[in-house]
Amino acid sequence: MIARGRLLAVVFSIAVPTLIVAQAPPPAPAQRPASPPSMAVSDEGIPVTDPVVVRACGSCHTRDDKQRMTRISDRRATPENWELTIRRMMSLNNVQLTPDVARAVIKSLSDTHGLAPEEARGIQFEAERRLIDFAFEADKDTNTLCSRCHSIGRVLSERRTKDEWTRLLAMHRYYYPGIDGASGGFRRGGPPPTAAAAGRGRAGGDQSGRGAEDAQPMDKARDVLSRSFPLMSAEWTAWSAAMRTPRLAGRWAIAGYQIGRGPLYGQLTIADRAGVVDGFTTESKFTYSRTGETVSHKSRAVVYTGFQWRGRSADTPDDQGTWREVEFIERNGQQITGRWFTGAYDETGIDITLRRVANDPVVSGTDVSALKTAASNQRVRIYGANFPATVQAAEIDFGQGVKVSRVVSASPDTLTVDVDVAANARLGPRDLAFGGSSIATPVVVYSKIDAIKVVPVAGMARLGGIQFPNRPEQFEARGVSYGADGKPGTPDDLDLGPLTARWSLEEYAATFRDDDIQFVGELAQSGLFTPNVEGPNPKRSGNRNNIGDVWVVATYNATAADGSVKPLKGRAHLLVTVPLYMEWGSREVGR
Amino acid sequence: MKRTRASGALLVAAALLGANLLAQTRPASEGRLTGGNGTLYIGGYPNLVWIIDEATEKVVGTIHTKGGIPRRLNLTRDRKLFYIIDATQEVVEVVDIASRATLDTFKLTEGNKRVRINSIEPDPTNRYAILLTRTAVKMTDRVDIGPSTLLQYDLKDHKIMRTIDWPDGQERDQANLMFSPDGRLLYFLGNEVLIFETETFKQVDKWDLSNIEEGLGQVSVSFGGFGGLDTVYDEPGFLTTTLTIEDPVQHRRMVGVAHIDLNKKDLDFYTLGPAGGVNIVLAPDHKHAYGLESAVGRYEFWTIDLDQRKITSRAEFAGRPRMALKASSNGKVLYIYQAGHTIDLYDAATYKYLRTIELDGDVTTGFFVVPRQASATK
Repeated sequence: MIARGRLLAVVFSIAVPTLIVAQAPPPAPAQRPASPPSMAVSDEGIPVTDPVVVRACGSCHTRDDKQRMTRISDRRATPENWELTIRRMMSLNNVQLTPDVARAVIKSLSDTHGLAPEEARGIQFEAERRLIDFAFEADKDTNTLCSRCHSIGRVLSERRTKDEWTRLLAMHRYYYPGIDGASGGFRRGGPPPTAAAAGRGRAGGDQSGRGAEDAQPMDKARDVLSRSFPLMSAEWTAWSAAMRTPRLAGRWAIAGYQIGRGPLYGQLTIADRAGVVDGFTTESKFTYSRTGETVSHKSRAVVYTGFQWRGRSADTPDDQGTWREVEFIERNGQQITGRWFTGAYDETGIDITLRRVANDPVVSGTDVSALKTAASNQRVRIYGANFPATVQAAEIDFGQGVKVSRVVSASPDTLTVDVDVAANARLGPRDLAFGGSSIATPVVVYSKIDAIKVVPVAGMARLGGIQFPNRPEQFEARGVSYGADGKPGTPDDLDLGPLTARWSLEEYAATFRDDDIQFVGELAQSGLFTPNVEGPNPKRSGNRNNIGDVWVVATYNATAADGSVKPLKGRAHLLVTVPLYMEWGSREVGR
Repeated sequence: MKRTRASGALLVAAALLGANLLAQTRPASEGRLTGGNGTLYIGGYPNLVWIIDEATEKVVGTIHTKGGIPRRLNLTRDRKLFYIIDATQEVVEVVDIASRATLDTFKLTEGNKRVRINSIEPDPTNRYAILLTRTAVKMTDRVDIGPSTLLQYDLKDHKIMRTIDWPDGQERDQANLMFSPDGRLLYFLGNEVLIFETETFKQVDKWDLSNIEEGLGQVSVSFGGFGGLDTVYDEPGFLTTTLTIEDPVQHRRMVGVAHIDLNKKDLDFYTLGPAGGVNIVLAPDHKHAYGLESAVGRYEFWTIDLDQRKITSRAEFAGRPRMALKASSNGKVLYIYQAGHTIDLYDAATYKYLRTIELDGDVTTGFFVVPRQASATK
């Protein structure tokens, strides 16, 4: 299941105005009829002590004598989810907050009612806005119920008491009247079938026919979620005690990869940002190794919950402030990983790894990702930081069967070397070590290209260009070696990295008389697919718009042992769908 | 399988009705196949119900709803009124079809308490209505969703007369309601049909259709969704609809026709083939039904001979991704509608596409085909 980019299939949708309200008045209580007696916060509820949060939320959420606020104290969430809540409060509940107050509330709640690193790591894809196939395998019914309308990652970004999960479901039912029925599937029409029918037709029912399988879908989901994602956890207990202000100022080596453009390397400097709690600024310069293009980048960021970097590029001549940064700071403070992304649908991204630079050399990676056996003088550029001016070939270690024959040049951040690979070198990945620094598997050793594959294997584009922006999709062809066993699809298969291929589209016949290929868009020889415009197309039967699905095919001409040219083909599936007519992203947490 | 116990009188009535229908189905213009002389009703955006003359296929009028976008049309048995539920499910509007005038609107929502009406059925005298509701109360820091509640509502005094208790205290929702022809019984139509008497609204019987016959697995009967129940072509007290079962031994899902006699609590059903996503609608002659099978990119019309209990023909046609089917008042034209602003007409005998009725807005409700004879005689 695609974890994001899913349309909300609801009867009514929430209007989402921008969070920023210029010159907003001070927080005002929402005007609403009196509530029944206030409900109790659970005993395990987390106190809210920040006066900013108390002021902003206190007119509706009452606080008990233990400083626990209704609803809020019984919940933990990622910064993105807290932001969604604040947006909903402002757009639907008449809450008025200045931008600064809204940001302060999100920051405070993310720190005191957030997720521990162990809880957030598995769902980092959600904040990183990655288009991946992800399902909550622990309970497929819950996965299906929630992902009918939104990413299951959004759900897994929450921790709540059982009562609070119940209230979350109630909120859904209030705003979306049709959600109980077929569109949402929260409830089936009536009681479960009788015991006899249940016994014949389904498994899991007890003698009364009201076993676990008979719970209403929403009740089953509530039970699963409250068991799997309770308010309190050992991880949060430990992290909330250990959490501290991150010490990140200094130099960092950048290693990145962008589909279609290849690896990039450079350096980045992080500085403390005056006047912003856990705020930082960055300045960086990096180079795409394939083209030599150099990019300067500045950004500002806030770290939430001690480990969640949320940044946004600052305006520079090279960048109009459109890049966002979502990164995970490792607990040792020496490495940061994540994604920088841009585009109307966050579709253009760089996978980023930052390694802290002190006084010793740091190896970041190489420009090539595969070395051929029985070949000499293969040119490799090694990127990093603090490289000495003079380097001996023997100091650079690529492991068994691979020998650096010559150091061509050396600069503080790049070593250019020639490498010989023995004819009998074992096929497989190699680590690279230099000057006390090492990096895992920057290259693999292979004997021949057996196949090619196209990534992403399942792409998505969105029509646009008239009223709505489009979502292009970049594809990349990568070489594959079947490894030592010569068999495809086995664990020793090797990814040889990107290669230059010819690109074409083929029809993916999903329906009879399928004609999508004529309408969906264009594929450039760079592997970049640009979708057609949105809206009904009078030239298409039924006046349909230009959606559809097609194969994206890469053809690579490999030279065979006898000198002949042997075309290799790989393909990926591309779904071209409608624009997202509304936006639900969390764009403020990086400001 | 169970056998039909329809009375001889009903068969005679059906035959007479068929004869009447045949008499009225002379084409309006020579050489042009039309659906008959009835009237078509369908609600849409914004805030109206289109009235279409079946013979000319022209929009001859509109009913402008005051309650908002119509989402559900309930046609009274005498074909004189529509009870319309709006898209918020909070407003009911009573419309006189002849004058196209709104007679009444009401809602149960008050202040921060929203009362959503999932289903409505007026009693045959239009003195009161039965509402299937659920409340949603917004409070300062949360919302409370109430139980599904069955209410008797006084249409004149605009008061809730009583709350009808659920059998076993177990709530139901998402179901359609129907009164018996004499108004003495109320049927709550789901896989489990609840039967209430209408003096004190005590449950007097329960009919579990999901466990209807020894040896069969789960039985599922369709009574229409939120779009509402259309009984225009059914004899009073009867329902003809789609049924799926899980067959013995091989546990395949099979689809068939269910003919339900609510009065005698008798279900006659038979299978037609594998359950693939077909919906079955009754033809006005009561001898045939039509099926619309819809899979991705593959759409079929079926014709079912109800006497012979078999499919007599089926054929693919160029449908649309979301659609629904109705038979014309003379049974000679099939209407394809839903998800758009068009109603496509097909020849029921050949399945050949005829033409399209275009509306000036997207449809939002179910579609009613009301024969002239029916509206004139009832």
